[in-house]
Amino acid sequence: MTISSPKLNGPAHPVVLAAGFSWGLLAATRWSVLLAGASGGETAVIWHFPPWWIPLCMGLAAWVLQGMAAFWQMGWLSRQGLDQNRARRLAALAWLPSLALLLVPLAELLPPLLNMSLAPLALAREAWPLAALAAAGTVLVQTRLAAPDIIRKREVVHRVWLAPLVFVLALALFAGVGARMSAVSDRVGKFMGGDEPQYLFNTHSLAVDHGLDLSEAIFLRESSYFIDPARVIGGHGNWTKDGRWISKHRPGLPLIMAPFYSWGLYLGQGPRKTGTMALWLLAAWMVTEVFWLARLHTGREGPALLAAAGAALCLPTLIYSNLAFPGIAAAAFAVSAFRCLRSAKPGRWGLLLLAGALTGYLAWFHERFVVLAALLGLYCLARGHWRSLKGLAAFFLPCIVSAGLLMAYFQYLYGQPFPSQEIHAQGHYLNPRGLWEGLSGLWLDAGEGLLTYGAVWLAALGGLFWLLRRRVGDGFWTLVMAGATYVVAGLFADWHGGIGPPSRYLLAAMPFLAVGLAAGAHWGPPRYGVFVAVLGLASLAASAWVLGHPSAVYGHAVVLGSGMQFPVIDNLLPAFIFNDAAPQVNTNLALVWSWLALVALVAMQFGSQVYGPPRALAGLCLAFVLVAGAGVIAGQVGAGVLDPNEPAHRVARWSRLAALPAGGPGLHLGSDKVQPSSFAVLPLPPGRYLEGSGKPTAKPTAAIPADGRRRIWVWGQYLALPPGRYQGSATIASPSRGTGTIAWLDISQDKGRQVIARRDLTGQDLQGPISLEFDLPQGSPNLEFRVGSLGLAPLEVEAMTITRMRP
Amino acid sequence: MDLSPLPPVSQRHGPPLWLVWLVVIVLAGILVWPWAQGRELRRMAAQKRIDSNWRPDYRLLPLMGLAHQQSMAGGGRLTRSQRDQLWREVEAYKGTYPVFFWIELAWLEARAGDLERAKQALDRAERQDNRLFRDMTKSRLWDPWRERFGLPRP
Repeated sequence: MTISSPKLNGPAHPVVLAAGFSWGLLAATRWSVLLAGASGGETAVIWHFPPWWIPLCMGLAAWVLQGMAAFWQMGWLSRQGLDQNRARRLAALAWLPSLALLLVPLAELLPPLLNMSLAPLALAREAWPLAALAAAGTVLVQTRLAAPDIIRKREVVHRVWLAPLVFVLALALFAGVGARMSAVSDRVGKFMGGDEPQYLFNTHSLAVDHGLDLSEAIFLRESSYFIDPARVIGGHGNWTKDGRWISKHRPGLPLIMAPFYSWGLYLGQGPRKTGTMALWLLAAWMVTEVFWLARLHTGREGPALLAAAGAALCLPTLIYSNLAFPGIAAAAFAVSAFRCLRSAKPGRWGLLLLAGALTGYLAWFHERFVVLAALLGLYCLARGHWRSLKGLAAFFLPCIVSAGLLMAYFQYLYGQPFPSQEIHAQGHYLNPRGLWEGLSGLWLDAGEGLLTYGAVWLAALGGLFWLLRRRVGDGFWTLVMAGATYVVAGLFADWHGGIGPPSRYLLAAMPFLAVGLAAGAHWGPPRYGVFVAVLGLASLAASAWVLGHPSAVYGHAVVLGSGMQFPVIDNLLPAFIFNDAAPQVNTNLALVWSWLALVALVAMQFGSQVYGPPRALAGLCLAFVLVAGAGVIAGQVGAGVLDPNEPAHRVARWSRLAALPAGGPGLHLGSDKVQPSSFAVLPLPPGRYLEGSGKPTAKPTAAIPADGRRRIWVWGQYLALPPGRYQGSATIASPSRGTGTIAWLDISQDKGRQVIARRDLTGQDLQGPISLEFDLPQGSPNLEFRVGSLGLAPLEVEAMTITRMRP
Repeated sequence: MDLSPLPPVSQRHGPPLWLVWLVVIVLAGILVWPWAQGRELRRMAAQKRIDSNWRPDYRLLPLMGLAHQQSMAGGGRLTRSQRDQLWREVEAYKGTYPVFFWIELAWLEARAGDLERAKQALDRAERQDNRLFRDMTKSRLWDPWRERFGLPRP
């Protein structure tokens, strides 16, 4: 860059102007909505624009804002003691990375023009806020690097009140999550599932009977204190030889929850809610331990606060702070024991006794945590505590006593001192479908992956390598604790942790991973902060979405992309459980994103501390190209971004179209054979079929027998449609040719309470497709398209669609 | 093997230790107080459900809970009228899995000493769901009467 004329330095600098143009163009082009589809191997993209003045105003506003920011930035740099001309020139050039934003509209326009893969377009449409944040962050970094003197070491200050504040804030956060989940639970029904009610049942038995024999609670149907009284659960138990019904779930967590749960029974206020308070406390304690440990490792409070914030605000911790699974408790115990061992001087037996007690208790949460307990034992030795017999005894005595009791417990339950693998889920500690499935799926699976729901953990991993580089011992042992949790979970056949929300088995690794955020922020290059900001924003967005729809993340569903126009998450990421029929496709997709993650990890390990806007621009462009390239490859490997399996993507597009001010121009790119009318049809997938009381079926069609019973079949359960006029169509076959009513078709909302349109059907009506038009002036958050049978004639429901009449 | 170049850090901040322990002990006492009620908690919870007219279609659940606790606390004593009321409630019950309540009722009758009525209740349970009946009567709760009623062993 050779531009150095004083007249051109400042807001009139060409780089500033070009950057302003980039920001303006990005802002102006965000207001369009596009429909993209394929038909017969040909693709087309149809753009809908708002009236011309809207993008123009938005573009100009962005440009003006950028100009104001540049003006302020130049003044700030001047105040740092730099020569004014030099400050203005450096400040202007710092905007150079913004030019990478031009790639975003290019990625949207070029693929349909050149008949290339539409993955870059889809990624640009969905992830442009991350690109904008990356560009802004890079400009900020370059601005700071322009005045290296201001990046100076601060004094190490340890404020006593900070840790309690972290605890209180975390507790308030988790209580807020609890309030939210409680409200949602009341509105959409119980979404508690998997092992959670079984843990609560054990808690109930401990609270009321002070024992683990569940038989009395079963006979009295006392699971009704936290689930529908019509249901019966048995705590996943079995009979012992002396006639006790004991759960296969360990009593560690129920024992901690029991006093809190008892308060709920005592007050008649819902024992599950009071029992959950124990989980809030455990989760807040874990977050505080993360703060302490991160401060211990880095010696700094700012990075430690970042680590604590990551541990608290991101998934899976955020949602599991309110679910009765032992992961959060194990995380708190393990990280606390680790910190005690790290902090204790050899022979300081009080702290070591505490660490020993916490370590000894770990296996009572679940025997898989024996691995963490064993590693903590090794860490105790590695920290040099073997030098003091008193210290050694203080740590190991509780562990040995606990291990002995646990073995006696197993001997009583199973007749042997160790549980066999048959008692666990699918009964395989090594996944018979291949180890790569769990090891990659835990990171990248569309429905179960840690990075899918909390991308910031990739930055945390990168930070742990910084800890390893700067504090070998701390880094090594922190990585070992996180890695052991990951490997134990990843090798297991049920690596996904059952039907609960994603990454349940990684919970115990979270505090150790979170420490990496502090290390990266403290020692990493400036670009590490950009990584944290971008990945953190994606993680917070996922957290917010999950809190909005907590029941959706149960049952291996791939739902995170349901607010997007394209199935970016659904189709570009592996879905080992949801799409288990294509293991090789899933494996290849996982490989694609694993390579990209590896490149990102390497990028976090290097990076200049020297001002260099051209280098930053090149790096940012390279990052965008790599993400787009990975998307293109994943699109080729998998189903691509034009193959929506879920109605959600089409509904998201309709919603955006509905919000677009009318009157703007349109643009058709690609094949003329793909017509706009095809985008308006929403085929309702078989996965949404329900029968009677909500039993799902995977059949492609629904056969309703003529047995005299009235039945309702539901398609499109709880669709959220934007305002507009629609047509529902159904193809129903029946041998009946009579004129009497044998069935009916209706569109309802508010969970079936309000019927919007209805049509009675005779046998004659069923000779062709039947349609039903309806208006949704306000939109509908819970729309269902239902077929009712009077049971007088057999029916075969073959297909049902909803078509938007005036998109 | 101490791999860490950092010296161990020892920190002690905050209020005096005795105050911390005092607060912890008081809070722990408050926390565990309802838990210490034990089976009495079953009675309290069931009574609150009855008082609040909780789920009338499943009101048998708290009634059984109350009777169970009374039987446990009184060495099996339940008056005939109480047991008659339970019979009426179980017979009128329209909810899911009545087999559990027939078994529970049989157990209450057996503890009250009326083995004839206990046998009748067991027969009703067996007719309701033979599989669950065979499985759930393996409980040690039935040990005193296992031989008499020919119930399966665990």
